[in-house]
Amino acid sequence: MPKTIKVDFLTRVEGEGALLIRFKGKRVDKVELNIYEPPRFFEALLLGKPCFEAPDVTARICGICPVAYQMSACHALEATWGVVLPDHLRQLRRLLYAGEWLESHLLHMFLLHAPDFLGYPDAMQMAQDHPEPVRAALRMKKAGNAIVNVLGGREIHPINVRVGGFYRLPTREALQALLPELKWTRETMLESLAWMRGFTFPDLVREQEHVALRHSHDYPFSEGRIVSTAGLDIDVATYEAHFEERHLPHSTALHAVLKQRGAYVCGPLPRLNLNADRLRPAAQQALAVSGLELPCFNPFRSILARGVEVVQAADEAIAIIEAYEPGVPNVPIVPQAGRGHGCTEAPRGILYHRYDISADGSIAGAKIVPPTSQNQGSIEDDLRALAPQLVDLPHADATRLAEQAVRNYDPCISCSTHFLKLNIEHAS
Amino acid sequence: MTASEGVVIVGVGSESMGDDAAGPAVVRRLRARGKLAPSVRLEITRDPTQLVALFDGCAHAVVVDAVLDPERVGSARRVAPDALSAKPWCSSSHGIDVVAALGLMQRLAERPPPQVDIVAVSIADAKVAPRELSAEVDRGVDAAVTIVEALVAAAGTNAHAALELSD
Repeated sequence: MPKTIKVDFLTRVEGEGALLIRFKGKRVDKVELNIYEPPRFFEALLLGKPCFEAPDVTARICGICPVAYQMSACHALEATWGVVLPDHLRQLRRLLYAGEWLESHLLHMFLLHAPDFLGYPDAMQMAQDHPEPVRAALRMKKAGNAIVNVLGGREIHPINVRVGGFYRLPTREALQALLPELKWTRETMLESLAWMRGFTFPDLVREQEHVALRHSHDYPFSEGRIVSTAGLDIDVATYEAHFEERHLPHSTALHAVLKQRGAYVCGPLPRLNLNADRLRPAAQQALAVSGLELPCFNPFRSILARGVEVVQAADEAIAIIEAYEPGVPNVPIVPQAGRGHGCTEAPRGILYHRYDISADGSIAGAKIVPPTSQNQGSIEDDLRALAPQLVDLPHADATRLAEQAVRNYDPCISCSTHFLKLNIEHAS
Repeated sequence: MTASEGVVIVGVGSESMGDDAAGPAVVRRLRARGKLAPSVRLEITRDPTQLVALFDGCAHAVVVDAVLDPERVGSARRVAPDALSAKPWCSSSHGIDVVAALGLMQRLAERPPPQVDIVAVSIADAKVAPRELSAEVDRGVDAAVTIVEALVAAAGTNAHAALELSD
């Protein structure tokens, strides 16, 4: 008889998708991550629009990481014309990105992923027995919301970002008011990491190629070269020469692969593996507390990498706010014909944008490659590698473990269609 | 404490997602009408996790949210939390939905509100564009405003219990 692990609707992921695993005996015959949320055709939607609308239009692709879309769009357009922002605006962009990492990482770690490790179906059940970590998570997340609210104009889908900087800058006092909760977040996350390192992590080590940005001196948010654990080291502008997207029949999302090399991984664990020497001292301390040994290729330990990045984001936000002196809100830009590329580190991994601009400033071409499209192949590879552990488990346990493996990537299906159900089949 | 003291009304939704903005629209309309006592706290959020902190310690919590219910677009009604969780209604692009957030609130709040009302505005879809509410949902927002004002006026009385509860 065929044995199938089938999840018809994956929960605790962003968007709609399903998962099918089919066995023949103890061998995996088929793994499909099916993304069936309809494609959003944002690239086509942008055509003909004034290029300055790209940050706000693309931000609507995702309710969890709109800042990432805004930042990739802004960097791509500014690169088109060689615009470099003054340092105070660069710092404020890093601050805004730190706010989004806090919002996204804390939601995923405590409300979506931690229940897997503790054996609860959801955060509500977990909160019954572990109220303090969940209560702390909501408070820490609020610190991230507050950054995005003050600097972005509102908590989700910020409206204060523009090509060349911001529409208006916050006062010193408005930012200083955020410091007490950010400092509390930095300290509390250290305690949370000490708790999370005691979780039981399934044994799955796959030395797949890890890809991330790497900056000359900072931990990567929105600048740097694209590097990998296999020696890739390229300028963002050459992304499409090294990566390609493939359409697969079982998914409405495209799968991105490295040409001639196949699937790769992006996100918190690759960022940490490739940039640990760029962590701030407080985050170095968090890394030690987490117990992570780098390089780490166990995707289940990505929850610890997110925790280290929470400390990194909080600590950097504190430093930026303490040094903040308002300046001009933006630099004037007159659009000209050209092509620009931008790649920034969304919470889930690298997010690539490319725009072709006409002489009248309208968008003649656009390409957007979100992180979940880039991680889909690796998610399926993880499930194949996990199959020997899944095949003998009772169906309910196998389903839970497979879903947990998917959630390691905090996949954002809404972005990748730009995603989940789980089917495990056993074929004779 | 009078009936209106300790009342917190929160409109949940994204104003970038078309009719998902119905909850925030109800709160804006309540503010504009000015019929509620000044002590009633009116809030808007796109992040349901914030409900835990917003409602902690209040006497009467009212959450207004859009629900996917294409057959009743243009209407609003008071619903029971159980009714919401029984159907895939909540349009969540925010990580967790309102039902989960209210569940968390009951477990995490130091002083959970003794009275929680949910007012649902029926929508057909939550799309990225247009930014404005559809004409049908705009009518539903007006209906929700009337329901919320009646809930606040009747809070703690037999009249509140008698207000219609839809499933």
